[in-house]
Amino acid sequence: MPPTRRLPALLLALTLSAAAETPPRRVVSINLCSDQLLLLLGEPGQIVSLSYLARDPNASALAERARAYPANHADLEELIAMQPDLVLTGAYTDSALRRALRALGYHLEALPLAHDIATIRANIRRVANWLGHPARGEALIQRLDAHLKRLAQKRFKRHPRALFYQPNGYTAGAGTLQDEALKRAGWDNLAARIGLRGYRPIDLETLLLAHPEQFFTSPYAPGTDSLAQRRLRHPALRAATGGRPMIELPYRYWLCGGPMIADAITALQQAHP
Amino acid sequence: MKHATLILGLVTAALGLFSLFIGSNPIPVFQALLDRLHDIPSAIAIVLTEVRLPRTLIALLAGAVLGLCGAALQGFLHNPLASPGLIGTSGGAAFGAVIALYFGFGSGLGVPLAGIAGALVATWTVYRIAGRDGDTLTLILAGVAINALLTASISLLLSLAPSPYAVQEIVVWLLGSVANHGSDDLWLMLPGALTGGLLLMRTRRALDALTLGEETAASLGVDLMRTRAQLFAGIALAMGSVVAVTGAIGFVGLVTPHLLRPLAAHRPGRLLGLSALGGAALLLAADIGVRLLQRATGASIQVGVITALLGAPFFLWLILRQRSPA
Amino acid sequence: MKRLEALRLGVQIGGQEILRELDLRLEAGQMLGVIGPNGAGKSTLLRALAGIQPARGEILLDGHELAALSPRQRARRIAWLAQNGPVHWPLSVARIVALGRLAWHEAEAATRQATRETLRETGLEGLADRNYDQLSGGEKARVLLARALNGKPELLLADEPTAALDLAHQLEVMTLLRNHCQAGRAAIVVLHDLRLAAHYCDRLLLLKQGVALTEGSPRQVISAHWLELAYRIRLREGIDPLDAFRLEWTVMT
Repeated sequence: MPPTRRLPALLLALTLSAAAETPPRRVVSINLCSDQLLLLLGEPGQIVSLSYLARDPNASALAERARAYPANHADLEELIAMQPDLVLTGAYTDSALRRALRALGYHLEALPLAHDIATIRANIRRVANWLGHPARGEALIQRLDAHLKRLAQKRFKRHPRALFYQPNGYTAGAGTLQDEALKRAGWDNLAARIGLRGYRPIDLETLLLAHPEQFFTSPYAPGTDSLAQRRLRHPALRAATGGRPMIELPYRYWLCGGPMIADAITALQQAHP
Repeated sequence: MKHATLILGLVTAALGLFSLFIGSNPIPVFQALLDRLHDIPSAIAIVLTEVRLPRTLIALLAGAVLGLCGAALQGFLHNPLASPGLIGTSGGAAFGAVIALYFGFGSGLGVPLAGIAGALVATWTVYRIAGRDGDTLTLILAGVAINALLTASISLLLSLAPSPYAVQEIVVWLLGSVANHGSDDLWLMLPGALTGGLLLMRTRRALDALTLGEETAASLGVDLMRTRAQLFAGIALAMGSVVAVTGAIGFVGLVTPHLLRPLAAHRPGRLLGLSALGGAALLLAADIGVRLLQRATGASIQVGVITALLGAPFFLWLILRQRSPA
Repeated sequence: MKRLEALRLGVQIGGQEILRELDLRLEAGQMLGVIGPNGAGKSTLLRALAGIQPARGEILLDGHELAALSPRQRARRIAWLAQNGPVHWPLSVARIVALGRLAWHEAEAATRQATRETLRETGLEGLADRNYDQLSGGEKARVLLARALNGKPELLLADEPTAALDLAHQLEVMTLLRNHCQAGRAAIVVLHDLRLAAHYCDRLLLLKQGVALTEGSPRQVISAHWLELAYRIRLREGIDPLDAFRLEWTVMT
């Protein structure tokens, strides 16, 4: 970098590091998961922009509230124009974009993926600290835990065998939000019982031979069709559950870890036969 | 001749039975059958009748249609290099089915009907370009051009499709697969496949006569206009319905008639039935191969990969043999 | 059949008159030779009579319009033998000859029986199971003729059946055609060789540029006057035109 260009960058870095000690005033989130936690924990005046996905009611649990803020498409020029003093990203946000933002001296924070409720709690705490509102984070965690405790009081005589079945035959094994939600809602997650970990495809015959009693699915793109999605309509699936149809749950429960996990557990509990 | 049909029929039936024993997990097939007969909705009965049986029947039906259409086209164009894949029929059917499936009118009969329309348009185009004398070079060049256009269009459409899963399905449409279909898909392809197959079988006499050229065939009382209409309608109906469900499975329609032509004493009409049987056996055998591979390695590959892997070298050998003086 | 008549026959292809106002009459038992220079419309005449070339005018078979017959009925009564007709697949000789009975829609056994007879009559028994691809040119021509004869047609239309054959095979083919023309049957044969035409045909039709110049017995048609007009060839002084085209050879048995 030529010396004449270095000066403004240096100045910018100085102002940013000074700002980091006080709560950030211009926060931009470019990741759906950080969007939602920012909405829950941030001061409205702090939030400059959320990703466009935050407005998608199918993906976002807070789509309505997200509409109050300008949407971004994680485009470098667009972000610079917003003059953020904090950019929230996800664990898998485009690394070229992150490098570019860092090189320009912007303050970035990356939110880890949550595959269980413990990480959800940690993430809430993390975002609350970044935003300079740790107390709000603790309050949100307390509300979530209270909700989970209420749900845990519900007892079921039997834990029926169930499983998430997604387009292309994907299912959620151990170590996923679905697995945790199913267990807390009184279901026996067959995918985990078979020994699957994470999101993996399960072969149709293996699936049927595990004697499932209920299928759940979360449509990622409702209203569209493809061979992958047609696999969910295989006649054998319905025959296997004695004609009981597959239950659809919104995909927004699983896309990001957050307090909406409690709503997911509620829905799963209501699905009991 | 009679023996050839009988033996081929027995081989196909044996493969069909064997195929019911091959899946990702070993199941007690006879117990499953008993459960089914006693209406016990056990998991093994469901695996047998809702997974393995439809898959077997779809492979047999699709293979039969491919073999039949290949034999009919080769006979009609008196050209051993013609096949439903080479002259754009499969690609056209896949193109039509892709439009219907991914862009929202894919309910019920929409997909097979669009496949039929696509097959008809694509085949007719190549046929018009190549001319009815079926000159090998023009036919193949026209087929290559139309196929390239169709392949690109299918890829483009799948990239533009609203479904997030569409793009990864390009390979299914271009190579074909009989996996993961249920009995409802079988019912969807059955009417078109049967009607088309019957239409094609009715051209047998005309195809035999066409051995002596179009004019002599006409002098023998063959109505060429009608034969042509039956042939195109038959191929479009059968291929359209099959490809709409399985994607464009290659090489079965090209290779099967070749393998069996000597058994039919080179008579194009006689070859139709044999080629249908042979195509059914060939595709089912390839799909059994796919399932065994999946059991051994866990990888699920398209049946079209197997048929292309075996068919392409055969095709090359065929071209080389045609070029060298007999 | 008893009689074939064509009245004011005309064919137009691509705006060009190939045949004009042609009248023709043929009795059972006769063999009519169609001669004339290249491009005279000889093949087109045969195609029109066979019903595979749309034509103006009337063609009457025993007084009945040919056009009123279905293609299959027509095919049972009239056979057409193409010039150098293709055989696209290497069928056996017996299978090719059997195709001649396609229009009969009969049981396979009946076809086989009739085919065996035809093969014997045409001296092809020994070749019955051979592949067409392995035959010599002369054998191929005989097989295709046998195919045309196999349906026992009342009228046989043969387009240059002797083209590209050696003399012995020419004589063999002409003898087969001659034998065909018995009671109730007739043949129309396009020929370039005037010796064969003069020797084997009962009547000759001389065509030039789509017009019939003359029609009559070989003696009437093969004359210095007509040949000059048709072919622009001249006979040496003092020679009888029929002598000039005399055929004095027969096939050894």
